[in-house]
Amino acid sequence: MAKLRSDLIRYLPSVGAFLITAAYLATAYTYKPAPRAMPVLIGWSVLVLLGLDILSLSPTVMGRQLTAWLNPARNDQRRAGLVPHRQWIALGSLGALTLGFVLLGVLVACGLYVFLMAALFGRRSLLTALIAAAAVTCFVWLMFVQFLHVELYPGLLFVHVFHISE
Amino acid sequence: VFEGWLHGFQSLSSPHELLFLGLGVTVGLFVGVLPGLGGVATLALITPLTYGMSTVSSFALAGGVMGAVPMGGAITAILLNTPGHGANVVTCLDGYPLATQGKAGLAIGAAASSNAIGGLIGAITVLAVLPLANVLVFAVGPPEFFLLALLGLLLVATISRGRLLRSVISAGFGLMLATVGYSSVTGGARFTFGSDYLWNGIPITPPLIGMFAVAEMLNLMIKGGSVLNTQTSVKVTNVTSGLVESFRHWGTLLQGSLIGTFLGCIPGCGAAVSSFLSYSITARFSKDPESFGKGNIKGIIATEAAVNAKDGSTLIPTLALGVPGSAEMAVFMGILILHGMQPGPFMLIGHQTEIYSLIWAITASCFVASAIGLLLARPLSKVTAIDSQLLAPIVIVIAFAGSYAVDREVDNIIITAVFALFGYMSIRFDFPRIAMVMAMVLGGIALRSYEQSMMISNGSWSIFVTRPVCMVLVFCIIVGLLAPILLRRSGLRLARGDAARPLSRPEEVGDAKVKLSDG
Repeated sequence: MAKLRSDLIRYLPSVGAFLITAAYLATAYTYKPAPRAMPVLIGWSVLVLLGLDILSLSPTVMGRQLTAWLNPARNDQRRAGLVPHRQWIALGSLGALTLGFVLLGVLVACGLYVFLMAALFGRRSLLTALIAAAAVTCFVWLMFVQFLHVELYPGLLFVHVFHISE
Repeated sequence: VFEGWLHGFQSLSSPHELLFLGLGVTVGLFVGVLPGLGGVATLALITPLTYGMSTVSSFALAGGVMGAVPMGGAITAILLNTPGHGANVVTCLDGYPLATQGKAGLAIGAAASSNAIGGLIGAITVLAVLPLANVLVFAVGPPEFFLLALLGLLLVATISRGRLLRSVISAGFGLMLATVGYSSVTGGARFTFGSDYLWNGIPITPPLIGMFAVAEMLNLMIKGGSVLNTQTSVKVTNVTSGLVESFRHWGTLLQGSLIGTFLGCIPGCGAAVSSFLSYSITARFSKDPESFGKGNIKGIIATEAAVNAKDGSTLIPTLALGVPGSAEMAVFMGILILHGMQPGPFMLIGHQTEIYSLIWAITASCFVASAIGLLLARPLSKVTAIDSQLLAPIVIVIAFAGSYAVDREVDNIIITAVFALFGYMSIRFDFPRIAMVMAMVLGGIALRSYEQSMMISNGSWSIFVTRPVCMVLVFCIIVGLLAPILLRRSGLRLARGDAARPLSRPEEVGDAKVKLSDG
């Protein structure tokens, strides 16, 4: 079971990239001949290369030869010591931050994210997390709003619910 | 020409610009000590901050960063065997053994003076060569630009040694992304899916911020701990002897600088390649090759001189031809575009003062960074001990805010997040990010020039082989295709020979405390 899982993870990026390229190619074919010429050329080239990459991952003689010739320094075990839950938290927090920026605006999301990440993920004391969050929010406000005169996005929530102008 | 130099110097010497230069140097030094971040991520991070600044101020800031990052990286490479970025890996080879012998100050002093002199030689070369580049305005057209971009794309494959296939795949993805948007040559929008935001193509800055600054921080956050896992006590003494040492070995210093200068002119030939080549040539032709890797000061001098000389000469293809000479330059092009400049031959005519101020800024930053680096060597090394759980969220939110500030588009934030995920996956599954970024930048040039060339020649490919500059470029492309095979053969010979130390992969150096960024 563990071997199957590790094999799946090994093939996943190349297969995923293959599918994305196939979708790109399918979309390219919906355009007129002149604009699609280059995308089609690029798409097919990448598909062939990804095919070779997938083949190089297989535990066959050809796979080993392809790896030796084209990717001798590849290291799929590079992240062997990775703790999966940390990865999901970090990636999930990135999604939450993006949503926060869009809904709550730049300044609120900045402070909230730093506070939560320092307190929950970094296991810092609430005071330390609060100080870090306040310092970063102040820095962003000073740097962008005061120094560079950039109006920071107030967030969809504040724009539409509280009618604060952009 | 001299008037241009003088104007550039004058515009940089106002207190306001010097302040930005100092800020850039300080940021560059601090970031330089953080493995992975390096010049590319820092430039990506400061790019949106330059919005609203004058062009010269932004160039002072960017030049300060570019000149200072290698010095910051050299300090931790010597003191802690922790290279700041790819090019500093070679500094570890002799720097850390010297530090363990109690000669850290000697090594840092040598690195500082080599950095400054290398930077100066690189800058002099640019100042001498750049005015001649005006001639290119009339010699270079769409076919030449297409071939130049193609040459750059071919060289992308050599960036990540040993990962040819995945480099080319990443470059392919970069090209795919470059096709997004409306094509003014063929007419019609491609892959915009009805979005106005994508009409002009994917903007370059948010993806760069996502793929380098944010992705690197995510990686650090997931790894946990601090950048440096163990606290090492360091001794920094004998610095003055180190400064003198570079001048004592002036031949090595000059050789390293010239190698860096030459390789910097070739698009795609990064600092890591320059430093590796300079080091291996110095070691190979030394009377005492066995001492290399055990604490030979010449190893540091050759490496550091090459790294900083490259910074200046990389500006030649970037500014004169619009082809980024390195990943840093690809990001720097974002700053140029942000300030309404289109890199290429015509930029040399319209923005001479700004260009010369940039060159002066890089030169000055090499000297200032070396001086500050010497003073701050010890406290700087402590930056690596900051807990990533605190450092990463702070850097990420600043990067996001900066990405929004580029053109006040909320979509920039989403693009940054998507590319951060893309960047992290690239790190995780070993797809070189640099190849994708270079291809994204070069892809736009290549596509546009190819389509224009086809229109000029009525669809005939002969246009690419009948013009004089095109013929030279085709020859360079053929050499570029054959070079990996020749290098592989010579590498095999080197491995069989009496090399003092294997120089096969950066990751093998030192205690492998850090994951080296492919940036």
